[in-house]
Amino acid sequence: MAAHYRFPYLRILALTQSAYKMKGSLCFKNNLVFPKHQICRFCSSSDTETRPWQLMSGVCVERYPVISQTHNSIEEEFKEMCNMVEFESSVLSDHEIQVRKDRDRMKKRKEGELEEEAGDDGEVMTALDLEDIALEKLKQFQAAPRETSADQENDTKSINRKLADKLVLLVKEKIGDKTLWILPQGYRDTGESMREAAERVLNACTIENRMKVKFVGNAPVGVYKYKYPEDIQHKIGAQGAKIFFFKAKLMQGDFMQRPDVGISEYKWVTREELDSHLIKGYSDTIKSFILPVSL
Amino acid sequence: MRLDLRAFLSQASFFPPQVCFVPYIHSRGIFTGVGGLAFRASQSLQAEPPKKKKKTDPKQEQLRQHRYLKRLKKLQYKMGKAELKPVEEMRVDRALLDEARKRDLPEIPPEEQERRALLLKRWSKFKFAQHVTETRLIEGAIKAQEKALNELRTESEELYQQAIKTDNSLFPLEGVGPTHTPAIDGFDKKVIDGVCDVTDNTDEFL
Repeated sequence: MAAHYRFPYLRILALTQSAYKMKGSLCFKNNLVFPKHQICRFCSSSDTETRPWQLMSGVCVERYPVISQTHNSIEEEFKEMCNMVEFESSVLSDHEIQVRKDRDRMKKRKEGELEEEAGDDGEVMTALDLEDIALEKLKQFQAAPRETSADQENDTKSINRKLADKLVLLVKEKIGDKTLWILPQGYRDTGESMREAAERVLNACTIENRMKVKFVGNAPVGVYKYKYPEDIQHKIGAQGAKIFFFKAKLMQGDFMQRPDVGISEYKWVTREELDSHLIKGYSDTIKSFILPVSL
Repeated sequence: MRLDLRAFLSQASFFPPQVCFVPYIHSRGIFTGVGGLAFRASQSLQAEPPKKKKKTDPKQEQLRQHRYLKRLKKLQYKMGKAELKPVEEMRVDRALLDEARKRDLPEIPPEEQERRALLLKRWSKFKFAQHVTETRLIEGAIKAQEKALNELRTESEELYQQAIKTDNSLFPLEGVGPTHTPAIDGFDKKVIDGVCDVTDNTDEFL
């Protein structure tokens, strides 16, 4: 490190390059890399603690949107303009030409110019008639409403609420002496990978075969660390817990709570509603990997 | 070595291979043996020995190549630029280019044109802002994952290696996209029972 370099920037480059090779002795802060043997006031003094961290897996089950988002004002305006432009630059379709022909023929028949063609019953289905029949049939079709009954009652346990948004599963559990809303989590057993732990945690919460999810990848999407208070640290022998979150997409079914598990309540909430349920640090961590539907 | 009568005969008797017939040798008296040892000559044996390679000056060779390429390029230039092949989907139907099909619409007034131009500008600003937000969100998600992986690595190398393995069960991934209205409860059952009519009548109207 004390080598003589002709250009000072090369020295810095060498420093960072060699520092990068040293595993476990790096300190990342504000996108800069500092090797730990240098004065590093930014690092937490984690070298003094010898207690390990407990590993937990958390599961973020998402119900993806069922219906499309409503347009905002500019989107509506633009959509109308696009339709107008498309109409103006289009040519007549076969149906429109037929309508015109039928109209001309009707006019001619009224004026008595057109002779009755042989074999003509007089009542031929015109294009306009076909159009009317089609419109009638469309009116008979009743589409399901975009706002469901769950929306009107504001039933947060229902999966049919807020069909245009993404819903995330939250459970209420007792942590220490407090009951908090969290994503389902559990400790990792020995011999399990983190993803296997996540799958086990989710299966433990819900009744079998009621909910079908698809886990997205083997890698965790986020991490949340929390330190235990001193007395608990002494009791358990661990410094705290690191929760690694895994994402899962809800494919089918609904969450059916198992009565014997330590979950007192559950909810399906949108991303905007997360803040009102979770503690600040936890909420910020989770929001970074739950992307909103409307930007 | 194969006895290929046809080919041999074509060479020996001036007949092309197609024309040649396989004769009854003894009665016709056509000579098929080469030499008295009943040596059977096949096509490959009758092939010409390879020609002797002439020593070419590399510079001469290069010059020759250069001149050849130049001649080709000149020819290409004379022929003009290569015509692009028409892409099937981009062809407009001949019937639609008919004059009778043109719409008779009034001219768009300048106020409307102005409105449209301004709307386009607002729209591009709006879309760009959306793009920026989206990029930021995605970058945030990537950072969160990297942070999680770093933490996992500091805990245990083995768990980290398990985490970065590719998940082969992920694909094929199926998803039913968002529709304008949700699925009607019990519609499938109605269709099966014959209560709802879902026959496709669009061909009648087209």
